Formats: sequence, structure tokens, C-alpha cells
Amino acid sequence: MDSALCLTAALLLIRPPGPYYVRFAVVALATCALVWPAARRAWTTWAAQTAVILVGIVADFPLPDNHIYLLLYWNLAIALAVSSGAPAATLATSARWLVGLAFAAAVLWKAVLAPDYLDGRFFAVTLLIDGRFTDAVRLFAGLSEADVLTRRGVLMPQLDGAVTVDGPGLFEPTGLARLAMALTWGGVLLEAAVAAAMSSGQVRRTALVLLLVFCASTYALAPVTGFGCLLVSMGLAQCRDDETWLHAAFVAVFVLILFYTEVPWAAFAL
Amino acid sequence: MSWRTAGPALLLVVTAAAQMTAARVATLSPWKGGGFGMFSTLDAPGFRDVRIRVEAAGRSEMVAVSPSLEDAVMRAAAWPTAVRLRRVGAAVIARERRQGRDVTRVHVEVRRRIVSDDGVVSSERLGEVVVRAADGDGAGVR
Repeated sequence: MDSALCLTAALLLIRPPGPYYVRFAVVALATCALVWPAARRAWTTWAAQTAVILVGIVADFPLPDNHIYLLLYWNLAIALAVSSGAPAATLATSARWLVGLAFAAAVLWKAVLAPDYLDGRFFAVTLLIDGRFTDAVRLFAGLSEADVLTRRGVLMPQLDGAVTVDGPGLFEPTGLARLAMALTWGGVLLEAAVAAAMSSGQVRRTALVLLLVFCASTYALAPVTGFGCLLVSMGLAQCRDDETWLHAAFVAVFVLILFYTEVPWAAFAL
Repeated sequence: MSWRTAGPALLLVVTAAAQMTAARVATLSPWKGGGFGMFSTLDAPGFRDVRIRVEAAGRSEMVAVSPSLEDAVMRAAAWPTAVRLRRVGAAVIARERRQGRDVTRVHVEVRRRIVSDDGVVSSERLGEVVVRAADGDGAGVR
């Protein structure tokens, strides 16, 4: 459990949420937790962190990303677990439920509520308009940078409100369509598998391996470091003390996500 | 499952249910609000247009979002309620006055872009307000 708390503190140092006064408090508390084991084991540290993150969510509402909410629940779960008689088991159960429910909600959005996900439109457009995907699109879909910029120009807003319609061949390149469909179905099926495995509680190791696969693959493309590192911390909290290989795998994926963020690996591969 | 593990999980479920309701029946972007709808739909705040038109005697022009407006505009794009749209209008009026420009009213509109499955782009209005300079002088704008 201690390594999960260390990774959570490290994550809070790397990606503190909220406005400046919240970020300062988050970083100060996370530093204390990382440096002093007594502070790390004190429920007050994590309760204070929970309160500070909540202040940030309220101050920034409706702008905070979803993982900031998950970070709030996770810090609350830690505060409640370390004050219990069986901290490791309590935290592992909380982590399993939080990850399972978050993934279930994500699958509900993708498969039922969103009108433009399953047919591939979401990724086909997002791969074009989000500059963070440009290198990956060039690498995996075979489009040139000029192709991407031309199609992005059709989709992006105009200052005067004019709507540019009927972009000829917007989704025509087969490489782009294939990549979009692979990300669409690969993403939702993997998320559904994680949600189901976490919720069942009968296939703990399978659930953790699926979570590792999700984090190692998804965050290579999706630039959401905070979410990925948080999921890794919550996965690590579910490892038993004798599962050293699983511990090592989660720590390695935590570092891998930071690698994806800091190193433009797709550009190097072009 | 004890109350110590049920508490955070229950909080997640309640927040997500409220977010899904707000995104379905109101205009909250599915990407925001804690319902885990990110990367599920194109209806992200960044794919919504906030259009601002400033009007004065002999003047009617669309204006770009300056740094002083960014925060109010991002909040309005994420969930364009009348209150948030009026804040944008009031901030624009305050900015125009700071820069010595005449302004009688500001029209703020938020639209979401929709891409059909054959690549045709259209848009749908999510909310609009008109803020008169006499009513909204920027006081109280965050």
C-alpha cells in the first residue's frame, strides 16, 4: 500500500490540480507525504488533500477534467483507509470499485449516450483537430502534415461564425478511417473488459493486467498524463505484497506514461 | 463493502449520474462535470464556438477572445448557462471600456459543431444572451 501512496503523492507533485492557491497547497501536502512516512500514514494529510482538491473543483467548475474528480474520490478513499483497522485491504477494495465504476461510466458514455462514438466519427475528427495526435496520425494513418492541416481547416471554428460545410473527402483516407475505427472499438472493448473484471472481484489479477494494458496502450496516444498515473496508483494499491512482478509492472507503466508525455516518440518514429 | 469503501464509490456514482443528466437535458459538455464522458463525443468545449458581437453607434463587429476573456469564455463553452453567458458579455463590455472603445451592447452566442457521418459540418445553438452596456458594466465579473 505504501508504494501506492508514494505514487499518488508523486502524481500530485507532477500534476497538481486547480487554481494557483490550490496547487500550492496540494504540492505542499504531497511533499510532506512523500518525505515523511508518518505524514503519509496520517489520515489528516489525505483528508486535507481531499478538501483542497474539492476547493479547486468548486473554484474551477465546470472546467475540471474527469480525473480531477477521480483524484478527489481517491484521496478521500486513502483518508478513510489509513484510518481503518485494515488499511491495505480497505484501500484495495476502494481502488477496485472506483476504477470499475469510472470505466463503467466511460463505457456507458461511449456505447449508449454519445451519438458519434461507435460509428468512428469521434476519433476520425479528433485525430485531425487535436494537434497532440498529429504525429500519430502521420505515423499510423500515413497522412502528410499538409493533409492534416487542410482537413483541420475545414473543421475548426471561424471567428465570424461561418460554418464551413461539406469538407470533400474529410474521412476518405482509408488509413485515417482504419485508425479511427481501431481506436474506437479497441478503446471501448478494453474499457468494458476492465470495468467488468474490476466489478466482478473474482479475477483480480486479470483485472490488473487489463488495467496495465489499458494504461500502457491508451496513454501512448491520449495525452492525459494525470489520468494515466492516477489509474496506475489505484492499480498498484490492489497488488498484494508478494506480487513483486505486478508491483514492478505498475511502477514501470507509471514511468512509461511520463515517457509518453515528455518524449515525442511518434515524431522520432516518423 | 464497508462504509469506508462505499463512501467514495457512492460519491462517484451520484456525481456521474448528475453529470449525465445535466449533459442530456441541459447543455453541459459531456467532457466535463465528472461523468467520465471524455473521449466519447465531439461535443467537447473546444469544439463549441463562443461568438461575441460588439455593437455601438456605427459599429457592429465580431471580436476575438482576448486573454482577459479566456476564463469566462471557457466556462461558457463548457456549460453555457445564461449566467455564464452574461459574465462573458459583461467582461467584454469592461474590456471595451478599458480600451476606450464605445459599446452599447454585446451579443454572446455558443454553438456546438456537429459532423455528420459523411463529413458535413453544421452547428447548433446552445445558448445566447444580449448584454446591454447600461446593465452589464463588468462589475462582479470573475
